[in-house]
Amino acid sequence: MCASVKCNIRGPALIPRMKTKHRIYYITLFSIVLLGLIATGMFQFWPHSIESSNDWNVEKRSIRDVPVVRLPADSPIPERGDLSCRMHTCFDVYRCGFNPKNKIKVYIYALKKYVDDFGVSVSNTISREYNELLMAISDSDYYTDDINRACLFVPSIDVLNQNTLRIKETAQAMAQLSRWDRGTNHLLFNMLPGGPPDYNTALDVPRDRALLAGGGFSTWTYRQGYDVSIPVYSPLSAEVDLPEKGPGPRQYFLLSSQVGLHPEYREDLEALQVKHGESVLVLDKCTNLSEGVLSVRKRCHKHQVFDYPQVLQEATFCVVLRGARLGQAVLSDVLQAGCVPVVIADSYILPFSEVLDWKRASVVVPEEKMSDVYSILQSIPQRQIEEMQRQARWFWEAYFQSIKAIALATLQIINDRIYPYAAISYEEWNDPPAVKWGSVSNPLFLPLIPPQSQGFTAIVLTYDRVESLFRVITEVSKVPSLSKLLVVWNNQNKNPPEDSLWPKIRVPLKVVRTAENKLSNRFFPYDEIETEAVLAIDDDIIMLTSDELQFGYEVWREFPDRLVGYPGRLHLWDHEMNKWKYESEWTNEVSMVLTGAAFYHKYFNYLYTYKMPGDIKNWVDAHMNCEDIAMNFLVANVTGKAVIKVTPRKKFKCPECTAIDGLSLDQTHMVERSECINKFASVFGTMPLKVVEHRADPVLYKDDFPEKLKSFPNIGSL
Amino acid sequence: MQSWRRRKSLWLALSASWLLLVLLGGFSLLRLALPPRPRPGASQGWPRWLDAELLQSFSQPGELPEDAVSPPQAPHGGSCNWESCFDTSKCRGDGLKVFVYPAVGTISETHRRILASIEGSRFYTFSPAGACLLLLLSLDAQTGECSSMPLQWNRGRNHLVLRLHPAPCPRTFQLGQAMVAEASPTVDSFRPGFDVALPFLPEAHPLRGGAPGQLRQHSPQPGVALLALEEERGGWRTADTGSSACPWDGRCEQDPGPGQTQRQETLPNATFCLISGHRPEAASRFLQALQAGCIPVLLSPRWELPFSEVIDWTKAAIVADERLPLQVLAALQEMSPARVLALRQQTQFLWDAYFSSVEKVIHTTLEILVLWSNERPLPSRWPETAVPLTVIDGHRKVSDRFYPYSTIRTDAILSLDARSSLSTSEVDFAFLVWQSFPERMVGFLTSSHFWDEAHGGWGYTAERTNEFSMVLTTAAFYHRYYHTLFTHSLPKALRTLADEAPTCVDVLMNFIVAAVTKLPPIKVPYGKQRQEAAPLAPGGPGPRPKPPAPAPDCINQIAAAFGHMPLLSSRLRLDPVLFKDPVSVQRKKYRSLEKP
Repeated sequence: MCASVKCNIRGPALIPRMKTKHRIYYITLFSIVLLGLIATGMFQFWPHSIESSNDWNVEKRSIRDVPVVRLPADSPIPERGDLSCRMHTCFDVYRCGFNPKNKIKVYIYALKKYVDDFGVSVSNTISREYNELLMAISDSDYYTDDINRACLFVPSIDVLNQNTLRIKETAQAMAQLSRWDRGTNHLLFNMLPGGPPDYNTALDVPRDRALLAGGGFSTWTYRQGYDVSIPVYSPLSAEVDLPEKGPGPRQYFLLSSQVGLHPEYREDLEALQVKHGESVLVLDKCTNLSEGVLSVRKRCHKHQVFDYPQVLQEATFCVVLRGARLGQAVLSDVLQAGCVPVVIADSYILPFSEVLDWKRASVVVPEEKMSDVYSILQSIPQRQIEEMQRQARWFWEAYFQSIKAIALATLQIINDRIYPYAAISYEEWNDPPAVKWGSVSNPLFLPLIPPQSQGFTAIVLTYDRVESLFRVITEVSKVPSLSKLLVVWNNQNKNPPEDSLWPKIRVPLKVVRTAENKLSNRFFPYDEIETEAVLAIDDDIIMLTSDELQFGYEVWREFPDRLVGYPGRLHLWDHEMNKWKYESEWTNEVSMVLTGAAFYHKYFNYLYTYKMPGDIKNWVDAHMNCEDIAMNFLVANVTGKAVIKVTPRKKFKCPECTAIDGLSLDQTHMVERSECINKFASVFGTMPLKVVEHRADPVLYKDDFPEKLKSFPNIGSL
Repeated sequence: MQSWRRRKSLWLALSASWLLLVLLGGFSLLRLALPPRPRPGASQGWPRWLDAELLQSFSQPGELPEDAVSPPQAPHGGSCNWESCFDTSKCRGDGLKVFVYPAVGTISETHRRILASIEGSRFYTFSPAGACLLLLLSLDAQTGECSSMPLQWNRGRNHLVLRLHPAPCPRTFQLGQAMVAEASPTVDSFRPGFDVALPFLPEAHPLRGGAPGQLRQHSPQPGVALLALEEERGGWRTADTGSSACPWDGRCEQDPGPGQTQRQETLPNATFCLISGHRPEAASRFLQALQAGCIPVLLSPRWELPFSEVIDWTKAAIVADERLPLQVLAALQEMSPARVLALRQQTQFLWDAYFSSVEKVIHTTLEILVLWSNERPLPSRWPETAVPLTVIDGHRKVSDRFYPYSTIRTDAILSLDARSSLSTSEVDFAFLVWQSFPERMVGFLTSSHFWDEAHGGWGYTAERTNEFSMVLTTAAFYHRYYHTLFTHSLPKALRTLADEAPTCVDVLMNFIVAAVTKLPPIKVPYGKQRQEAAPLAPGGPGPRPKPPAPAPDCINQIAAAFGHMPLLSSRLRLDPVLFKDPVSVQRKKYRSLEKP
């Protein structure tokens, strides 16, 4: 369009100069263009071979069409599997060297159908679950289709259930994968290992150095830090919707729902039932079900029929006993029902035990103590049981509920091993979301009293009140523990006074000029701050005595993770207006201190500048107000602790500085401060401020004791 | 005019077709030039099978529960775990009791210290028959003697072989089912959940107390080096990781720049300490860095980190693969200040809690075994509540006062003496303060400790001074957890002391709380009138009320048993917000507190 406008403007000037030879020229040009157009158009709609046709074919294909690979009987078989394998011996980490963002890249081999010399297939092509698993990996951030950049390889040979495959031939199929290389960096998923009669606890397919994500490992077969122990997926997870049932006592204290238990175990359980009566329920397979009723979904006790897995929700504790295999799908059902699993399977490696803290969600009882199980469980306090019920359900939701959850947790564990410094923390793995969001973790958790000799850095924010500033500097410099004074010059239009004009003080004085007149500049983590304690002080606070400031610093040393200030303020809930209100009356409570003069840890400057949530920082700079309230919110939110108010001081302004029309100014001031509280509370999503009824005074403050013997005799009044 | 219009339309047509040509042609040329890229999402990756619905489940319905059954497997040799190789039945009743085989021949100083610390612990027993754990000290190579198989060996069942230095003796007997507590064991020989990894202790490691962590400042300083590297012959040098060059040798092409500085024997003053060598050097360097608050960066350690069964080392150290050095360096440079701060504080916490003395190391080891031998899951130790309190009347022995009575269901304990008289508002206010500081002791009457140059020992005074370090437990709030500690964690010697010299109990309780919190107690105001009138001390009214002074040597005995002086002084008192302010009494909530 723009082009045509341009033409219209230029047109009248150009055209009159045109001659006949030009016309011919134009016609030729026009035909060339026309030809070009036709050619291009043809090319557009011509079916051409240059675009690969397989990528839209890949989308929808039938499993019956997958290529068939014939395995000669004498093709190589991998070594049995090296029990001594560890990440540093059997895993080639160099392949993961160029993965950005500390995330491994996973390649999946294309699906093939393997047959032996006689054309008999080696295994079922792929199960529903393994298909889901590969799809989950393929849809995740881990996936790469570039075999050269991959750090981990997943064969599409399905070994989830050992019973469905021919062991030797499956191993041969593995060995001919294009990057097999003794199985280095290859990951196999298996949930049902072993077979009759002795049921090995790990997949019997020879696999050399390949990693095994297995369900049912025992301590004898599990290679700590190399293999990954995974759950046995329960298909009921997808079929049955068990709504979460809140924690608390349930009808049965202990329940056993497994069928096909070893007779010895069943005897033990039944003995428990006899001893403890109604509170123990031992279920078994139903023998008298009518036709068409799914036997997997029913359990019976004598002639009573129960729905499975719904019945699990009626019990506080559910027994998970070893069967022929150590890993049992019932564990998943039990967790789903929010029933605390009582795992009785010696040497069983619980799923994802490398990262999950099973003590929080289960009780593991040695087989020889089965008869004591009831009394062991009874000794657990109710509060802890409820905690475990919640935890059990959360484990299921996060790590058991789908094949996708299992696959991604497995990859995350391997990822964490390769980039341990970027690993997911214990809390992230184990804390339910409610706990994660609800808990505060104090960033300054170590009760470390900094040495008094370190002192503090005073930061004075100033614009142009030089005279008052110099008085503040002189006063503050009398405080024994002051180690440095930093003046933040917030005026861009005026230079700070010359060096010679500044007061001569005993500690270094440094002036920092700012780029913009912002209130936030007061809370910037300047490199010049070398102490942990910071005293923020306004350029007009001259009423605080040296004793008061020194005492304030010593109080801060005892509470280095809190804001320690002088005048205290309070937030209140206004029931009429239905919102928060700022209160500066002299009340019995405080929840904030003014930062016109306050001690705090330098770290909070970093938090204020870089981690303040939402648009609070901009709000403060735009309104030129409430930076102190924002700091109070920030510290309380991150530490979960209240401020410390020091000494009786209630206000900053000295009598002679009270404004002439103080009252009306005060009114609008209060309204604006209340607005700040409401705004910040909505940004934080909570009211983090804590109300306390104490303040800190020197030990002998106002005691009947000779003044001259007191350490801090000169504590100012209101 | 007409031709003009025609030309105009010609012009228009021409430019329009040019535009079209450029658009279409350019586009196809682009497609020709670039290889076809699969569209993101649907078209790449694992195929969506047309017949996916027909796929069968990996386990047929009924197959799972119908599993054939085999009898329980018996443990076969090789590896051991707690269930299969340890007989917990012996630990019932009294809990974990430990018998130590007496040493044969000359023993080293370290061993003497270990023996002393076990014998002083509450786990110790004299009889091998009553013990649930038999402990065998594996002797040092220096002494030239190796232990022979003890009498009650029983294939090593319920035995713990303690080895402070890696493999000093050729194995004169098979370890069998014995657990091994060894300094920095190799990952290959370590049996998780059964063996215990110990720290590598230097010869001069103190028996008790131990030097505190050396971190003086939480946050890294602008001037301090980011990375310290271990030197081959011991000591450290600091390096600047600001440069892109890889600062450690061997694996990088570039030479370390001239920014590298001098060697130091002392503890490194840096944010991260790189430890890549092999044990035992690396293991001792590790402990050094931990004490200094220098975050250990371990490159592929082949040894198990100390107490790895119970300590989450990812919160205090960085473990990385030595084969990916550049990634590690980048990770260190990019680490957020928040994470650095957390890691540093954790190094100090761990050092002080578990590593700073031989006694702490031994007790941690025994605690781990207690943890394992316990049948029921352990509850969290600091339950959080803020409920009203229960007052318990203790009698008989003095230390019974601190027994964790099962009737105490609340967290707060107000310990009272029949002689102490407190007003309701005093108690109310003190309880409110305690709720803000539940881990500390909140009391009314205070006393201080001081170093007495003349006697070369600690002194004790109840004089009113500008500071205090103890509150009297005859009127104080504290968490019931300290009752548990008092009864179950104190060395026997200290409990005996408390029973024999009742006045020592106050001091002892203050020591316990201070050792745990590393903070002074809190003082709240106490009505002065009664403070002067009511004799708190049995000694009768004097010019100034004084609590009973503890036996003079009490504080020194306790300090010796602790190995250090945990008490800290405070110069503040927590008062109600309007305390003694010249404002209307009507405003004040705790006005009775300030009656003259």
